[in-house]
Amino acid sequence: MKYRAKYTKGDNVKFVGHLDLLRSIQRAIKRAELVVKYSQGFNPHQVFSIAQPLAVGHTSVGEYMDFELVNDMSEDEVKQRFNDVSPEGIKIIEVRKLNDGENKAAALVEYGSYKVVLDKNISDDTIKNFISQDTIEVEKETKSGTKIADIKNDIIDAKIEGTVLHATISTGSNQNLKIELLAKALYTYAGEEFDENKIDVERQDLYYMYKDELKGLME
Amino acid sequence: MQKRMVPDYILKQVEKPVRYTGGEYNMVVKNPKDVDIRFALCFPDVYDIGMSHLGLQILYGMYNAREDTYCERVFSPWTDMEAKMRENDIKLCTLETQDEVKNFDFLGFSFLYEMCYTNVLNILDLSGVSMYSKDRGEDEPIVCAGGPCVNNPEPMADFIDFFYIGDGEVKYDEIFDIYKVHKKNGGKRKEFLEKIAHIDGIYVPAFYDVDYNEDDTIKSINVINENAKPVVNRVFVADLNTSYYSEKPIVPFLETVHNRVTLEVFRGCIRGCRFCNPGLMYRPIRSKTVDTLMKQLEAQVKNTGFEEISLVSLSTSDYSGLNELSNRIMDKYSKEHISLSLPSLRVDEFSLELMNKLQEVRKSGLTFAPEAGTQRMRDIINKGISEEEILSGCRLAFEGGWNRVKLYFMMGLPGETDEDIVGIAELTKKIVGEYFKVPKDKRANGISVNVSASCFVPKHNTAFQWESQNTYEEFERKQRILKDAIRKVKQATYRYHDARTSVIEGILTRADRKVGKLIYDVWKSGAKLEAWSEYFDYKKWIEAFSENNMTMEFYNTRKREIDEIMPWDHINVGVNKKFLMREKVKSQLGEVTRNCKEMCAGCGDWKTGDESENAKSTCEMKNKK
Repeated sequence: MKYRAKYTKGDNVKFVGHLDLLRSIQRAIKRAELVVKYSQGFNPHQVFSIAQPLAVGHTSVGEYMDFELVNDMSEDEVKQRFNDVSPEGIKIIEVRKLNDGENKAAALVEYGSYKVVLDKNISDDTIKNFISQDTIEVEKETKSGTKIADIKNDIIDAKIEGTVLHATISTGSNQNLKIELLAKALYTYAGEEFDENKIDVERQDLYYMYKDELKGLME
Repeated sequence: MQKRMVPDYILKQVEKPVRYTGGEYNMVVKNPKDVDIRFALCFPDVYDIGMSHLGLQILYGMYNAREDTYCERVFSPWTDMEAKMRENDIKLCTLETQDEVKNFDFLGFSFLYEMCYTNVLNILDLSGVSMYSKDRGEDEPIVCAGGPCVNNPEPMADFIDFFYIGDGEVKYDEIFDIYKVHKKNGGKRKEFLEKIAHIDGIYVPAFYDVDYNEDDTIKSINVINENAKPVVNRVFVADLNTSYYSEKPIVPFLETVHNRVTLEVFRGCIRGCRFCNPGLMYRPIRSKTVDTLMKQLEAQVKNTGFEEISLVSLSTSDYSGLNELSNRIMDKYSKEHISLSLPSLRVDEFSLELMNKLQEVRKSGLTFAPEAGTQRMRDIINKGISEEEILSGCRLAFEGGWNRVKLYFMMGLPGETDEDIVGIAELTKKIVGEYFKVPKDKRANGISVNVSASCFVPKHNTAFQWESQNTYEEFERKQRILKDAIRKVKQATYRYHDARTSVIEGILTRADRKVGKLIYDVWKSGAKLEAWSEYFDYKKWIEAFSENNMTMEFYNTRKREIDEIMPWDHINVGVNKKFLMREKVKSQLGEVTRNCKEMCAGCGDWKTGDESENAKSTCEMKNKK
């Protein structure tokens, strides 16, 4: 039986890297005595995947993993068992059984929403003007050096409440925008100096586009 | 938000920030207000190394099993973090509560290797704790140390308030009980040290004074406080089946050196290799039963979710229950995709069959440790293995499909000649020859042999403690000889290390108290993380020796007289000196000593506690008869 779980990555575990997180979750699954199916072949591994890596230093209340269990078990029991033995900060919020033929979360994800605590005051007007520009150009670092990219189409929505930026942007294996790039562009536009180590990022949720509407992965 | 010793914006700038943030599964959480004793347990190297150490997990679990004690961990920061801490005046904190170490009751170090000594001083400094024991104020932690290096505690005597000599499981309760009462009554730190100085295993260096002869050798070691004993006995667990074992080891987030269930099958070693310090220092020989091990394993697997189990001891092949244990582990866990790994197996028919079962498809490399290239040399060091045994082991391995072999040797051994060095290459050649003797259709394609030859360090409390260590130049010369000789064996590659680390290790392991000042000076000139080759700086040591008008030769190349008082002679580790002297003589004659299973060599009586004539030895080899 295939399952999808929505889980958190809390403040106390935000510096755990992606591969370390994978291993930690797989160990928690083992401790929970959830019998995960193993792949065939010379080097069997758990049938398990994570929707979209989260950058080191970011927290999240909307991460997703897909896995396949040998036995059929109720969603509540899966959640309960995992949360009883998972590290503080890595907790399942919700579990859903997947239907046959449903796409993996990793293949679906296209957008993510973020909450960013800024270290400078930027007014709501500024951000309105910022996102209504015809193009929003940033310097993107690639393997072959830096290049100028237009990120306008990667921004679905961006607004400010107090010193908190709420933004929904491209997040996924096809099209991806680093939230720090958006924040940097915004700071530059507002004439503020940007230090990516001084903002706090929390991912809120992940989505895909279905008939021109954002859809959550648990729907 | 979580309390952290350093602000997030700094953590975001350093490598592997998760080294500093704690919160791992099975980390013990207590309210410091609810305990009487706060213990900062320190492995003086970075987190990734320290968290791989089994002893640390045992102590951590054991101390925390006491309701009145909260034991927390602290490690060396990596250089990037240290720079940030110094720049921002941040003091070193524990992982658990992120509280400053300097406010703890105890700061306890584990000394696993001598090259960590400058780290210890660096940690004291980063914690804001006075470096020298004599300067420490009443509100500073009691600084203590244990681990294999403290069997010669002298080089660190000036910095440590008390040493704990022996197995950690034995005396901690007594010490903590005394401390609790002492703290409640508001006693002075010296009074506390006086109260524990009589306990077996406890060594308070300030209560001893050393007199020197004109030639700088030791004239006498004198007790200067009436509470201290003239000789400190090492303590050891009598029965490992009933002693404490952590059922809930911490599961690190970070990929540490060893990230798995570690099951200690027995303590001690039946092989009396004359160069080996741990082989004697962990005696007597005490095994756990297979039932005990299965019980401990079950709890650990359940509580950690680790995907690998590793059996550890100094020589796992010598564990009598190995066959039964490995079968039971495989029966129980292979279907759960938990694998078993067996480091340091002696290669023979049995172990190859076992390894075959373990890895089924993939054949990883095999490791042999002949230690010396010629039979003459192997007899001198009492490495109880013959050339025929080595070659037949290799032949079996090649027939079984292995084709990658690692060989471990040493150079600079007592009585060594250039022929013994060339002998390493010759043995390597013969091993390659064994591969080609196997018919083509029966062997795996291509052979690679990796030869590693480390520089011999004469260790305290071994039969070679009186011997001269080779100079740096001599090591280099021998490395060149071996390099040239091995070039003729084209299937082999020779790896060697910088001999300079071994030279310093050679000084520290047999050092006296005066070397403490050198360690301080070397640290002061910026040394730290010296076990990492990129940070080891030989020049600093040379400078420190010359500034203090001392010579390296006195400590490493000088041959000691048999009746010279050794700096560690007031520490009784249990192996008696007469046995070491006998072994020294036998080594010069090229005579071997049989292993403990075959015949007891009378290395010690290994009686514990009860001093009466009838007290039973705790050594299971001795009790066999």
